[in-house]
Amino acid sequence: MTRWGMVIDLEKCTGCQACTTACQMENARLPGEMWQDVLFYSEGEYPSGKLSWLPRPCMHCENPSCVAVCPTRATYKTEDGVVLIDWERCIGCKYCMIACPYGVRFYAEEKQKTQPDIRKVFPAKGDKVWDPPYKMPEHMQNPKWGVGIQPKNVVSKCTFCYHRVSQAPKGTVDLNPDDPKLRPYTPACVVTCAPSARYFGDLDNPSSEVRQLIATKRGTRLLDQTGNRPQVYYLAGEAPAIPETRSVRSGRKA
Amino acid sequence: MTATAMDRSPAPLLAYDAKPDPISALLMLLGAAGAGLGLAFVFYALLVDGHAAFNTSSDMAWGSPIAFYLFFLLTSSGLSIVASLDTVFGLRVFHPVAKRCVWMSIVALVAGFSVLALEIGRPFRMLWALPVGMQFHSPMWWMGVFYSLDLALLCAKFWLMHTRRWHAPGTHGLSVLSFVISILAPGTLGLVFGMMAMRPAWYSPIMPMYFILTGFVGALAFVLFFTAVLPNQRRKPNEALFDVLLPRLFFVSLLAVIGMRFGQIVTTLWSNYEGMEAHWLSLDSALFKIEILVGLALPALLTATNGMRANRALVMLAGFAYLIGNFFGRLELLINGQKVPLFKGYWAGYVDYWPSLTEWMLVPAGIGIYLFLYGAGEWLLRLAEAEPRQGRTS
Amino acid sequence: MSGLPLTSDRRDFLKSAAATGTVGATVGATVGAIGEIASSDAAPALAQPAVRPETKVTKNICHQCPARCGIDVYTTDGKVHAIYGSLDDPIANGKLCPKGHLGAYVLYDPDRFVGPMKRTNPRKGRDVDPGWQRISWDEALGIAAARLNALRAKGEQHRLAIVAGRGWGSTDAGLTDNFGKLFGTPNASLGHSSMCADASKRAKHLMDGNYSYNSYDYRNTNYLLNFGAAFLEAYRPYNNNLQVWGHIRTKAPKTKVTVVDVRVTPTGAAADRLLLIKPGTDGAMALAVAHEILINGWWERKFVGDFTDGVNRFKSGETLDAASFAERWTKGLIEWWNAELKDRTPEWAATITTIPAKDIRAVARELGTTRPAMVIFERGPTTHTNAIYNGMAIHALNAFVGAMYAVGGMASQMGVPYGALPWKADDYVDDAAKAAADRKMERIDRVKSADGPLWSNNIQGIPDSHLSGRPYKLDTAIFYSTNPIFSTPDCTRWEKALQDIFVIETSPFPSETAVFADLILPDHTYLERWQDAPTYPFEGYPITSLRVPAVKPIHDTKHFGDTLIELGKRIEGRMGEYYRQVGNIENVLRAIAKGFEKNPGDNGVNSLESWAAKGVWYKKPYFWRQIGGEFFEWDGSDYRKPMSAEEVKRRLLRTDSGKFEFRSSYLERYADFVNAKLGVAKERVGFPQWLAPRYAGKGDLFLVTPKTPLHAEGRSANIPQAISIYQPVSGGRNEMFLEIHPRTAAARRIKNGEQVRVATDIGGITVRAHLTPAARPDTVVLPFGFGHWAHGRWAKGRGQNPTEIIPNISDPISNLTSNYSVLVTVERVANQA
Repeated sequence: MTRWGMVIDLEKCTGCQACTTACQMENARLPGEMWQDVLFYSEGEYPSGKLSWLPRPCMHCENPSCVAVCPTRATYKTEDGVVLIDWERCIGCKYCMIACPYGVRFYAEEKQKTQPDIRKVFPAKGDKVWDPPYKMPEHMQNPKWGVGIQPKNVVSKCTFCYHRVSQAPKGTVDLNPDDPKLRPYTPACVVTCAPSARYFGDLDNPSSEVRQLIATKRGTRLLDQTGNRPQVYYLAGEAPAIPETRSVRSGRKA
Repeated sequence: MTATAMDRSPAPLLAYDAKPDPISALLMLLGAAGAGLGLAFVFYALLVDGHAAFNTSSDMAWGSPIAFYLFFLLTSSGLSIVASLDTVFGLRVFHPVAKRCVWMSIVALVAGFSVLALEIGRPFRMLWALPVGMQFHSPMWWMGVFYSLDLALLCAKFWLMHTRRWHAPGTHGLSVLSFVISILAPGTLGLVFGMMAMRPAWYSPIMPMYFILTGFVGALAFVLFFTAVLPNQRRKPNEALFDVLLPRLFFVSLLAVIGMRFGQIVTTLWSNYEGMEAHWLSLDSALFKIEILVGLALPALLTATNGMRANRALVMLAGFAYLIGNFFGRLELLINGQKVPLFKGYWAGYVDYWPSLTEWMLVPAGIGIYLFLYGAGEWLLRLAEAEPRQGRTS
Repeated sequence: MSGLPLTSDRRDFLKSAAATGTVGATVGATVGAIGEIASSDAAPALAQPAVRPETKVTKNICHQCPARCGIDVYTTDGKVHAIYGSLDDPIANGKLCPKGHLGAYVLYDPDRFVGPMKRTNPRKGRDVDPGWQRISWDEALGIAAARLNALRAKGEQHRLAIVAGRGWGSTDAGLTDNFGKLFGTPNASLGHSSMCADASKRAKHLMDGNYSYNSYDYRNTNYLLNFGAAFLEAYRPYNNNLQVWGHIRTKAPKTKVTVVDVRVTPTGAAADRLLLIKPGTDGAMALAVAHEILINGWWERKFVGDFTDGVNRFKSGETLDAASFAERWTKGLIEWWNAELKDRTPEWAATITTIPAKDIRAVARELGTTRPAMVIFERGPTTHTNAIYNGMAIHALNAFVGAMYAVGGMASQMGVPYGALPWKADDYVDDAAKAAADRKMERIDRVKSADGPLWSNNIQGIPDSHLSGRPYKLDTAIFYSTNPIFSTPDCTRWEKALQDIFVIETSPFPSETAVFADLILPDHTYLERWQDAPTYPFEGYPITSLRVPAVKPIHDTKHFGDTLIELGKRIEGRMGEYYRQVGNIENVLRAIAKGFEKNPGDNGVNSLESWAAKGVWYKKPYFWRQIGGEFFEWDGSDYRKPMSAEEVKRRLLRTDSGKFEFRSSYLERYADFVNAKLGVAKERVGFPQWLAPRYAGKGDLFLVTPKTPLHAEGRSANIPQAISIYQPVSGGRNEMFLEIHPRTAAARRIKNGEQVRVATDIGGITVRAHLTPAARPDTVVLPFGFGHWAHGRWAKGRGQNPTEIIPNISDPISNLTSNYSVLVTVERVANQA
């Protein structure tokens, strides 16, 4: 059985955030609803100050705590290892947002940080949050996967571009965006990543590129102590270490 | 044995023939006004802005509505436990407040659920998705199960009391079951937070106990507050309970809460663990100060001596102060768990949150619902009624 | 920001293409109507099941920066919903930068102009409602033509100016030269390169004879010394730089990178070494590196030459006999050493730059002992009054390491063998135009005047010229793809100048310029239009890309090229005839694509149709290469054809001497001018040297105003999706912060997040401070990009625009604006909320 996973090489990552905008575009997300965020951290003092960054998609955990806490099973794990939200079952209790250690989930029903509120510029008829002209075509949308323009009052998150990945030919081991045949099935962030810092493939196949990279370049997972066992691995190489902290604290009191 | 006949005598289900006493009328009037104003405002805001009318966000997913919901639900369970002191454990001294406590417990649940319905994204979908979901890994699912049972059992228990079937076959068993659920329900609510290892500021096996205990003290505060406003003739026969035992129990339980909270504070401030700095940050917050000074220190001082505890005004004030502190303390607890953002980077800083006007309007809405229903019960449901003494076989 | 197509290189290509016989077979193609191309679904993606037949993929060129990445535009049911880099395009290679994905937001920007409009309110001002009235294109063009005809009748054609920014290729800015010639104005092609990077081009020109940006062979270099080029944020071609980064940082051997910059940038953070230098002193560091390379004998002897006896005699402080050194492809080394370099020790540089001598030595050792190596720089070191000398000092290092035209080094960009236009503008110059030419009017921006013999442009000077009437006042100005009222230093001068100019704005967006406009002739956005674009300097071989409309224009807008042609048709005399011949931009594209019949691209593109299907024409390889001090030309399969010194001079090292000149003969021609403007002794003018920058403003802190990755040269001001992710460092989400060191802040009682006033002698702005311990304590950073007072609902009223307080000073030689030679005061705003 295929179990999709991602490897992100931090030594290559330039922190450009093309993954963020590609994801936002492909999935028509709201401003600030960054399914694929890049987090920056600044530490140290001149002349040896340090700037580091970390791209952060959904980890699509092996043991996802969000799935465990969802009282309606709206959040679920697919057979091919992707964590999705069924927008037709989600009750908007937001417990999954509490339980996700990686802060990857979003709830559109909040005050827009970038004003004026774009939802009022492109208002939707009926139950949808908004209706932008650049939305994903209807045939690609699937509320059962949490893909497309979301209904009101549900939680959203990165789907590994399930509308693309799920259509890949059976038995695909590596989704290489440079291969014109496989490119349409590859997640948007992987397709666009200019330094090619992202790899996507089958974690259950020992000869997949992602498995090889994890083995030979010492793939690590974020916050492994949570036991969630992410299916997104980072290669730290000589890059700045993965920021362990969720925020950089400046002493005891901020 | 003659009393048995009296005991079983038909009583009007509702005392609709009586005019409401001024206290009940006032409570209902205040309740209707608060609920009317609050609900109208909140409904309008939700219609216009949806849940964007709240200041909650993807970083602070749970805000004041959840705190308020906690406040009502935990107090409800506490009230059920107070009632059970009599109905389950046979501490007959609590008998005069047993029926009232069961009613107050139901009413608090209704108020809490109402607030939740306004907070949750899709409350109607919850009604089918929760039972269909059967996600027994989720503490929230169990919470739904237990609180549904809780409400059902409390209603059944109240119905039996109201129809004067205190000793009908199964009543005691039902009371025991209701008590167990009233422990499990807030306990599970505690687990909803306490199990979250990824939210270190909440993560604690003690959380269920803390919730149950603070709910219990809240229940005592409720009883003290609402019985203090009762007309004298309803209190008179039970002065020992109202003026001595309940205040003392309140004081002693309050000391237990203070001890527990002190332990929590010391533990959390000592820890360097990522996420725990929220507690340090909260030291500066108004919420923390209100919780500790108004909610714990003040009521403890107000009820420190037997003489003070006999002063009905002081006791009433102490109960009120505890409830205020308790409410803000719950909000503080919620914020602390989410204050340190999860993977939001350098720019996010700590998550700032203060409830919006719409959220504040849930307060009159929730309290209004509570007051209205409580006042209605006081008027119509013979809440002071006790089981006839003779009814009990010794 | 780019210049115009590289016509001189194009000529070179044609010659060499003929010489080396690389002329492909002509493939005849049925020429269909241009509209049919737009709807042709020739993209390879269609063969794949994941893209449904109802989804159309069209080729376009990204407009978010000058890199010209080829993009695939995905359109379903007439709506654009996705943009990805094109796999066909050698720059994009299927990838994009963060701005590349924003195109659909630009297209569907709800604040776009929906059609031509005229002003009804004669009063002009920032907050004055222009009282727009929608009019037809016919009426709008009629109004503009009437003004232009009136100018011609009065013999005042020079009072028409066309100010253009990002207008690539033959269909847009490429039309303005002829427009000016036929109309009779010297002001038809006023570019904005003087606030872009004219100084780096000029510095290189003075040393190697090529007035252009370089093409680079990054992928094969093993050492990169980077002076102030925001390689991973704003340096072009950004997208390809990112691709390069992924490669060079994981190849064997890994390319080592040292960054010299004035603030902590992602580029610096990702590099092996980041040296935070005092602003404007990069030249001093480069001189010290050069000094170290020489005294240690690390220079590339095959390119530079050697002492006649092979013994290294470079010793700090000691002069040498020029005859003792035999130079190879360079000129003036010993003179330079004697005049400047011998005293430029790391210890000396440390006092100027604040970079410790040991770090300078370490950099020199790495650069001097690693091959291939190269040194890059751009606006950072040259946005100062000492721009040219900083740039020359840095570029000299490229000669030392033999990077010129070498593998892993730098070269120039070749032009594209376009077909010639069948209409000769010279045949249509009428008496009015001839008379205007005879008047020999100076350009309004005074380029090539006695004040600016080496200037290319002077957009920042136009308001001063107009306001002072020196050389004259403008009557009508057409603005295309530029918004100087927001972006030039001391930009508020434009608000006065535009009061009595008839302003024609062609932007699709409600720009600041539009607020002062009298007539709006809105252009299409890039996903709605045709346009050709020869590449920005990239890897040297010729590339030209093509925009194909993904959707029909969604508003009543007009292609700028067609607007110009339509305007031309309405001009009396021969000019109108010429434009009736041209007809429209479709004819222009057909004419230039003719050139591909004889020169098909590597991807088979040989016609307008195949060009539109692939989106790009290119032909590898780059033609010339320096290998171990010898120059070779491509012979069809390898670099084997040796070049004579004469050929090298003509094509590659195009200085007077045909050498890389450490003593610039070209600059020495202007010795009196340089002496007068910069106070450099006449006999020293030609040498790269340390010249302290002159700072404007009376403050005590340097202000730098960099570009962030999501804004850099882009179109993201009114895109909330972009605003919400502005990062990093001094960016911040939804807001721009002033980056300030905590000690600097504490001395001014400024706490984190507080409002501060940043001021120079021309004004002040209020921004929020962000305490940044990693920042230089003497430097504050405020990114450029926010502070719009127009441009749409999201752009407007968001932050402050630093160019409002940057005094208008420029490097006198290149005229590049000295945006960073600014000293500001920073103080806490009292009574904070």
